[in-house]
Amino acid sequence: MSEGLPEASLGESLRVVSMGVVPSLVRGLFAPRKRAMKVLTALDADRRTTELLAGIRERHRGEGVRLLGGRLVVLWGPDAIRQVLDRSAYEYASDSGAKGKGMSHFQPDALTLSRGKEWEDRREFTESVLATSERLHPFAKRFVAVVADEMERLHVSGDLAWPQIEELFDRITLRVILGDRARGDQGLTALLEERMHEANRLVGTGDDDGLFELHGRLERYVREAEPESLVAQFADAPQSDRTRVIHQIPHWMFAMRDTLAMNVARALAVIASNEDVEQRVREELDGVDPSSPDGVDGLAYLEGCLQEAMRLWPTTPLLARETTCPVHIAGQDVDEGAQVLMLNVFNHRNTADVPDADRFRPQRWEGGGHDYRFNHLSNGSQSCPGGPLVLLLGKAVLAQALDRYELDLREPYLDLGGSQPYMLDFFALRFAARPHPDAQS
Amino acid sequence: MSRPLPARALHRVFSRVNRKRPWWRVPHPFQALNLLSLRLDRRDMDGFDPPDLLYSLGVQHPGAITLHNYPRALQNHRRIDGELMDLATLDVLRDRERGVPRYNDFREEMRMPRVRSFDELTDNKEWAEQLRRVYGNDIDKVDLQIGMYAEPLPPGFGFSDTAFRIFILMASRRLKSDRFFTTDFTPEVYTQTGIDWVNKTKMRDVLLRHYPELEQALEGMPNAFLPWHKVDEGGGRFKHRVDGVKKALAAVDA
Repeated sequence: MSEGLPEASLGESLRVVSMGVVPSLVRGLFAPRKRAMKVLTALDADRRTTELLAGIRERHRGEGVRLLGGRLVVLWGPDAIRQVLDRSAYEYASDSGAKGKGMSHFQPDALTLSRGKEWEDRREFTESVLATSERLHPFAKRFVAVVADEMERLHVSGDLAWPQIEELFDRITLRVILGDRARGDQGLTALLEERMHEANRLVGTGDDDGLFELHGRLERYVREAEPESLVAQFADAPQSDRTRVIHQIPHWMFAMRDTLAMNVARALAVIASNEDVEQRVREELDGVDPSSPDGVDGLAYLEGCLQEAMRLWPTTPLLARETTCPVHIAGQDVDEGAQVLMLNVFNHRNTADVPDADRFRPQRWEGGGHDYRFNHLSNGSQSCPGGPLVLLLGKAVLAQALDRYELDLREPYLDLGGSQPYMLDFFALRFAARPHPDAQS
Repeated sequence: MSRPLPARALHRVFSRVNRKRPWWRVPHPFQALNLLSLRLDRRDMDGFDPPDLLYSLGVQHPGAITLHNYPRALQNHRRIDGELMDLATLDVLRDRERGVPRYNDFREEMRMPRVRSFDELTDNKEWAEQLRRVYGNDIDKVDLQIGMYAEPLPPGFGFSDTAFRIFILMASRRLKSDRFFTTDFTPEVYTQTGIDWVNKTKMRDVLLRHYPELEQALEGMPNAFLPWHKVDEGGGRFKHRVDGVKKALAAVDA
């Protein structure tokens, strides 16, 4: 395989932009649009993107390609991706373009939009609150208990579909981040949702009024922080006048409420529709108390299932970085201000590099470790600081759901003998649920 | 009759002046007086002529009415009786003691919307964060003065919108509801001479009536409240004082 970053033709460039970038915009960069998801799923958009990129990669080889005269770089080689992600927030800024513009509508001073010293400051705060370096958050016991309680209260009569899953995660999110008294504050999530949907438009996003309201409400929760909620960690977390602690909360809210919910729903779909997988999961769950943090933490195969769902259907279809200075990537000079794209949709399913790329193989994740090709939780300096926490919560929900119910996937049809489909519309998921005969409660 | 206005707060906010220039950029020696106020007391002040003191006051620019601009000398002020006081703290303390409403409550009484978050209070991110931390995330606890110093200024304004409501709108309404300024402001009550005296006399006239030597500094000034002309910069009749203050500053440095 030849090295470097070959230049793609103009035709290829245009096709990458139209197939790789435009679908992400249509889907909704920040809040998925229900109808768009349906249309894109019908078009099998991600398959088209993957096939296009696979063709380009086949022709050019290398670690990636340069498009439009080097203004745009698409990477797939793990070494090149590692270089970019390890130097993210410094040489490669993640606050540019559509992401920066859209996200600043609902979280203008968020960690993910920060660079340099500000980024370090906010990262340190965030890692401290979310306990990034620990497998178990100091409040893991309460968080897992919250999940158990919400599963208990979940109203399932025959059918389990997206609206219930969404509501379940909404309540878990509010209780974990802000405390039990926030459980019914759907007005707060609605405010954030509204801002996120407005941000999808990218233009004409208007005033800051809703943002002031959102921040004001969050300030009230922080003011009287409920013990063992994430905001209760604020007092002891390192912070300065540029941390902007309130601005860090919305990202956690949508990552837990929307992103994790989608991933858990998809993982559940695969588990429920594949007998072998379900069998292994249930064996692992046997004798494990799904209400104990250590029990949930030890569910390695289940974690593999969640990771596989994230890999196969990445909720972040692409990572974009802008170079803040001239850089070398794969031996090639790249100018300052170039856009560097890592298309997760393709990289996660790159059959030439990833063995069994299209298959659901939870064992893949058994060794742990970080594979720079798989960036659903990102890697390097800007890897998801909430990684351990979302995996714990996700596993807790899956374990509780399987412990309480026998689930069968009714819609859509997943053929699990072979390759997984490129798109799995979580809005359309529907399970048949009946109480599990051995349910503990 | 409207309810009594918290004139204490009003006075305190608007009497506050401050110098943003560092002392080595100060163009006139008397401006250094403020810097040296820690070391000077009333006896030293008695050594200056009133026109010199007024001139010094006239050429100084008032400081911006904003956060982080409180004169340090007044935060560490030794009174003649030897007591050390922090006037900035005392300002906040007195407002609280005397029941001046907090910023948001005050706004509500002014029929202005309450601010919902620290980011809405100020467009300065660093201040928003400092205030949030000082007031423990409670926007309703922000003191009136502090809130008014933090607010963004409407275009062309020297002070905040909240302050404008009380200072300009309310203060002038007060005058307009006083019969001696309105219905009874007539020659029958005041005599024509009295009316002319009130209408035609300006601050500039009052100053010059008493201290004609200020003429040069006030020449052509439409309003004595604007910064005056500087005369005899660093020399002339002030020469010996320039040297004196330079010596004093050198002593402080050493």
